[in-house]
Amino acid sequence: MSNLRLINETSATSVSSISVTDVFSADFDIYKVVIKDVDSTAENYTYMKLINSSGSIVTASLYDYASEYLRSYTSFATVIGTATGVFPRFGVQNTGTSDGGTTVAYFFNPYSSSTYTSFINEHSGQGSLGLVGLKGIGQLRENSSITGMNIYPASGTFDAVTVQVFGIRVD
Amino acid sequence: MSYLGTQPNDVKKNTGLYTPSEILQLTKDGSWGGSLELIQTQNATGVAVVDFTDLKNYDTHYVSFTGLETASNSQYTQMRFSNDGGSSFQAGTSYQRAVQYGGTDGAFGESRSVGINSIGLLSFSNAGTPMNGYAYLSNLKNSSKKSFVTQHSAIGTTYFYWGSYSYPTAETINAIRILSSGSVNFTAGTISLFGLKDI
Repeated sequence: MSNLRLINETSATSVSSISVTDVFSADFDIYKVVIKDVDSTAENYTYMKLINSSGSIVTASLYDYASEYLRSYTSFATVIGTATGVFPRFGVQNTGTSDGGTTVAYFFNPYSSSTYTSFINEHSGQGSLGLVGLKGIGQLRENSSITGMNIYPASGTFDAVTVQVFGIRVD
Repeated sequence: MSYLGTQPNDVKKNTGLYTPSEILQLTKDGSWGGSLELIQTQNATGVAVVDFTDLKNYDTHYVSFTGLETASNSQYTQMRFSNDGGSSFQAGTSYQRAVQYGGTDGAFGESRSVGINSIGLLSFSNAGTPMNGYAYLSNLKNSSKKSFVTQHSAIGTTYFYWGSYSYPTAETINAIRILSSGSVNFTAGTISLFGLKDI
């Protein structure tokens, strides 16, 4: 039995955002998240915010991040931010139903109220000009218990999106 | 909350710790098993290509490269896709690449292309220096979606490669091939193919 445990799979169509709640718990310290089957009404970045144990989306300016934006058709770009209200480079979505790429992310210690929540992500998808990829790190600079996440397109709406959450056993 | 079993028919809280009787019952229920499911492991020693021709049915695959070495220096480990079960593998200008690399010699840089004949910078391999890494493959079995790859790998302690690739043709991919850029034999290493469980 592998140490990867599928906890939750949530799909939605024609939504402005998708919230996955009550997936981070005391059962695991590290989680893998897969965003797949993404289609959108506009080509843009996928934004991500965390949801705390009260069920509220964390909108305060507490996110730090550093991402590399990889493209097959032009130079790469480094995007960084400190004390922002969102993690703005979780993935990229496009308008074509066949273009939707996949984001794989790991979250560390989200449920612990005595540590920051950190995450790393990587993405590959197809934009209108060619391949677009992302590789990044981020952190919520707050000692709070996080139980889920909210994902939404920077513009437009999701025609379709699926979020999988896995827990990783370490014993 | 986390449970074992296909939702919404959650059958048991997923703490990861179970008694033997619970395991037996969950096995009977068909709800026992991890979510990273090994499809196949192959030893690459002594062969020039490693083909995986049974990808099972997963949305997301994971490939691990362990201790991969080539018979000569300066070989890039490559991957190609097949849409005919492994009878032939796509080449030409079928793939796109956007990869970052870096080395202990200070040679950091980016490698990109919109038309290449393979997923071709999975890592740089030298004789006697093992390459280790992983790749996520998405949408391979979905005929209506293009296929994508993200990867991260290292050769010894000298170079890393990480980045993204696409196969921008919407069709079913039902076999993958691992090879070296110079078509030389691998002299050591294993390659494993996994599937990520879906609900």
